[in-house]
Amino acid sequence: MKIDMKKFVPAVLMTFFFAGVIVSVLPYPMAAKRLPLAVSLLGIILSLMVIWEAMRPSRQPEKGEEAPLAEEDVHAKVAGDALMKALAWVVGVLVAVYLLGLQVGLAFYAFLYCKLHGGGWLGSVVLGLGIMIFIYLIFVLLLNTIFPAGLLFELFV
Amino acid sequence: MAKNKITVLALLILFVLSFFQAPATPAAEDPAAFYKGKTVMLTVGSSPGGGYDTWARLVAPALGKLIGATVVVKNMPEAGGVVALDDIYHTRNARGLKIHLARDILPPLLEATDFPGTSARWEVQKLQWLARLSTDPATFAGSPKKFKSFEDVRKAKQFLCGVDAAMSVSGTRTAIALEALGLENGKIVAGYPGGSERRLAVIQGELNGTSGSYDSLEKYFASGDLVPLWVMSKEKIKENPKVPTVFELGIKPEARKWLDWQLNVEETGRTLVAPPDTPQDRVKYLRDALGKILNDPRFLKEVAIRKYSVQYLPGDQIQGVFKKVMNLSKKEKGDLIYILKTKYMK
Amino acid sequence: MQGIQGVFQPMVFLYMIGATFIGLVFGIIPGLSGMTFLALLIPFTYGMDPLMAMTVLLAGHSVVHTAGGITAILLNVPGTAACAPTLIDGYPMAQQGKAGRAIGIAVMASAVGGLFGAVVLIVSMPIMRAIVMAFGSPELFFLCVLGITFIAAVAGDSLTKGLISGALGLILSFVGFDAVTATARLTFDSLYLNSGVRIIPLVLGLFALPQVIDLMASGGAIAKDATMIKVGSDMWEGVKDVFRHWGLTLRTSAIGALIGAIPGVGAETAIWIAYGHAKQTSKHPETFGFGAPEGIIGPEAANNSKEGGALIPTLAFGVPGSSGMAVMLGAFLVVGLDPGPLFIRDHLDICYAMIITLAIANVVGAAFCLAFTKYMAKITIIPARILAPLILILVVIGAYLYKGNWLDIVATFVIGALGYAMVRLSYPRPPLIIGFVLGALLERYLHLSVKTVGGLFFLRPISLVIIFLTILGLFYNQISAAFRRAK
Repeated sequence: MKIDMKKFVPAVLMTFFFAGVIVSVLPYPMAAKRLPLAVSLLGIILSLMVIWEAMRPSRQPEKGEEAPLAEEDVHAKVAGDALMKALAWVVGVLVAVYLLGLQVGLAFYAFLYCKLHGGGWLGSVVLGLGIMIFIYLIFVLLLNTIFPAGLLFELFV
Repeated sequence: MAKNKITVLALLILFVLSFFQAPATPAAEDPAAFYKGKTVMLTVGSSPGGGYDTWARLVAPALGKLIGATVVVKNMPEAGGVVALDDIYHTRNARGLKIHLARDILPPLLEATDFPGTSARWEVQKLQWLARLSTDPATFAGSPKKFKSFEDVRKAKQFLCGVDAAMSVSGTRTAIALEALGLENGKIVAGYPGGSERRLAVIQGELNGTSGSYDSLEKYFASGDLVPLWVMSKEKIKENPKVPTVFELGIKPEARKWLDWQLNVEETGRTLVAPPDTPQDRVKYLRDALGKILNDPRFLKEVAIRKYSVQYLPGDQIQGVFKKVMNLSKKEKGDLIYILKTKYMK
Repeated sequence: MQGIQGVFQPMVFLYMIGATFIGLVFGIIPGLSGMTFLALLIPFTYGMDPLMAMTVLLAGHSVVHTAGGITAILLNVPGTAACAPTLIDGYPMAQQGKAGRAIGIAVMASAVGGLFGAVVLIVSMPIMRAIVMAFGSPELFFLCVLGITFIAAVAGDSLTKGLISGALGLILSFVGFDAVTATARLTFDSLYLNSGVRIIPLVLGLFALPQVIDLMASGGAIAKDATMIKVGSDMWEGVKDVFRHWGLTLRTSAIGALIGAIPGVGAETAIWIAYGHAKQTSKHPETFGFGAPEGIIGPEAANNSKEGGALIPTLAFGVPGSSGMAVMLGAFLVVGLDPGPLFIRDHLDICYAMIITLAIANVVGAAFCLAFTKYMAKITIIPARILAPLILILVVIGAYLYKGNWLDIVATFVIGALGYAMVRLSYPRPPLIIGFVLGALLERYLHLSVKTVGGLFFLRPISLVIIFLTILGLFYNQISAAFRRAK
């Protein structure tokens, strides 16, 4: 029996998720757990339906949500390597902001990204500085926003 | 190899940039000099607009001007102000650069009950109370179609009141009012988004009663959509002396202590507070500054334009009010929680 | 008409135009919304003349959705939460190189919707009170139910997955401090989660981050096969589309304005109902999700007209018609006004000023957008290595600016992981948004209805009408098929 893993695994995870919700809300008073229980139950039933679908051989290929052809192509082309790099960069901005604060972190990130993806020295520095100035002018000066300073600065300054 | 060079260069740049972010301050310093040029955060437990926020936005520029700092208002409306209050209580190392406009009943409430999501061992006395801006006694209102006065309330089959949440400001005040007045027919429905929705529900006939500050209810009295039933305070309302105070309506003796608890607390009103570890000299400096502002005729005029009024009380006296109030035994705390969460809930 | 004259004073008019432009900028940047606009600008109105203040605030606030739809089309990221339905058909159009046309549709539909909202306001002024009085907790509950059924309309091809997605959204909406029972649900003792999952981190994480990951990984541009010259030149085609489907445009504008007038839930449900209605009444419902013009017209007309509708309970009773209006009410207080039952009577000039502002801002905002459409459409050809990090930076800024909470940035990334998983596993995301937005509201109004009116709360005329419409909507296809067979 060929199991469509792409459908099977997430459906199993969802089943566990909804079961987890049920377990979590049981200690609450009735009025607080009524609807979460009902929705979770529904969720489990639906997930089981998807598991069932995944275990039967299907006649037609399942389509996704938006323009499927376009999305399918992109995902097929996206090799593991490129994806890992992309994920690293996305998480990287979070690390940058956490360590360096929002203003410096974002500016530094822009600079680094540009430099390591083919930009020249001057261009990258200008971009980084540009972002820093933009944030400063509009958000700090004009709108009086207070941005978090970042771990490294709190430790050493 | 190029990447290593880049990293080193980048770190060097960062090191230099770090000097632009947080200027170093010497530890002990004259408070007046300390505040000049700094940014002070004033958190408020409500969304933009509404009584508390407006007060914050009235005080912030005045305070900023006086001490030479920029005072920025930050709204933290979650959980009816509980999150903001809990946040200020746990703020460390703000060095006097963060203060909060507290909602009367919440600080002692957090101490008396185990408010979900907040940490245990909440102690009101630890907070540094700076100044009271105003009090705003709560008024209870009902639909004119069903009630002409409080006597109608007592005689009604059911007096269904709307509140935002159990143990919110409105929820606490309503439960204690029902308990103190011995209204056996009183019932509470929680879950309304806010005061204006509750008022609408009363006008529509879905609810029988709601509560709110007299200021916010006054226009509904003027339009005839609502009638005032009683006011939760010891003194009558100047603008409308016909409205009875809760004490004139017959209090259940056993419940009197809750009323006292509530009203003593409401006496603290809209109060500015600083984190527990704020240096004492800065606390004093802020107290003095606020005292000046809240007695300044120009400020009072601005306040009056909005039909508000100032009832100033200095911070150290507020600390004294709380000393009076916070002495509930374990059993009393249990009773209080029962009244607030269960007894009147429909 | 002193109010209307007031708006045309040079200073006021100038400020209004400026505010409109700023509002557009807020709308187009994901994470910045009408509420952020108000929150950031209200302090500047302190001390302003009330008429000027209200004009400025309303002008900017009413056009955020005009611009927000553009981001949804170009980047698959809603510029404002209310533009989420627009990406369902808007983004596929951009991918097909038709970004200009899509923007033309969105902007024109927004303008028509906004004007319609202004007209509804004027026309309904004598009966505003009656409208608001008619909708109590039961009606609001059934309206939420109606909105939730539209999960089916946006589920795409797999209804089961769409429903799971919706269920997930509902569960997310339950996270946080439950007002009714004073219990912290699914918060795992975190003070952050005590306030629940926030909408902006949710939308940014769900839509923006997966998009960024895709762009970074694929390295290409958004428009797959388009040439530099062609993209953006079909804008007027889109404008014409709106008038080709004028019936739909008017109907969805009406849906937005009328449902938006219902306090509390109206604004949230109106856009999804509009999208669903567009799909149901289309001659080619199967094209929805792949770039159907009607799929843009519906929500874009509704999300602008609902702003006019939301003003109705706000002005008539001081009850906010939407979360944006709740902040607007605060603005009233800052400038010394006090909305309540007598507001319209005592401040008729301000009311008129607001209506005219709504109309002018919508027209001006649309004009601004159309003027720049050609250039904006070219964003779809910008290579990913420039676009992706810029979007990412805007996401971080937007997430932080929402409430000034660093944890919102973290939340955005956590939700981003979920969003990316959903994209890879073909689980549709719009149903999650619907479930999230309506879930807690549904629960609240069910509770209030049962406790105040009683178990038979559905036995009210308007509730029954809404129930009827819900059933009609659910079985629309079967019913219309039956009609066609009968002919």
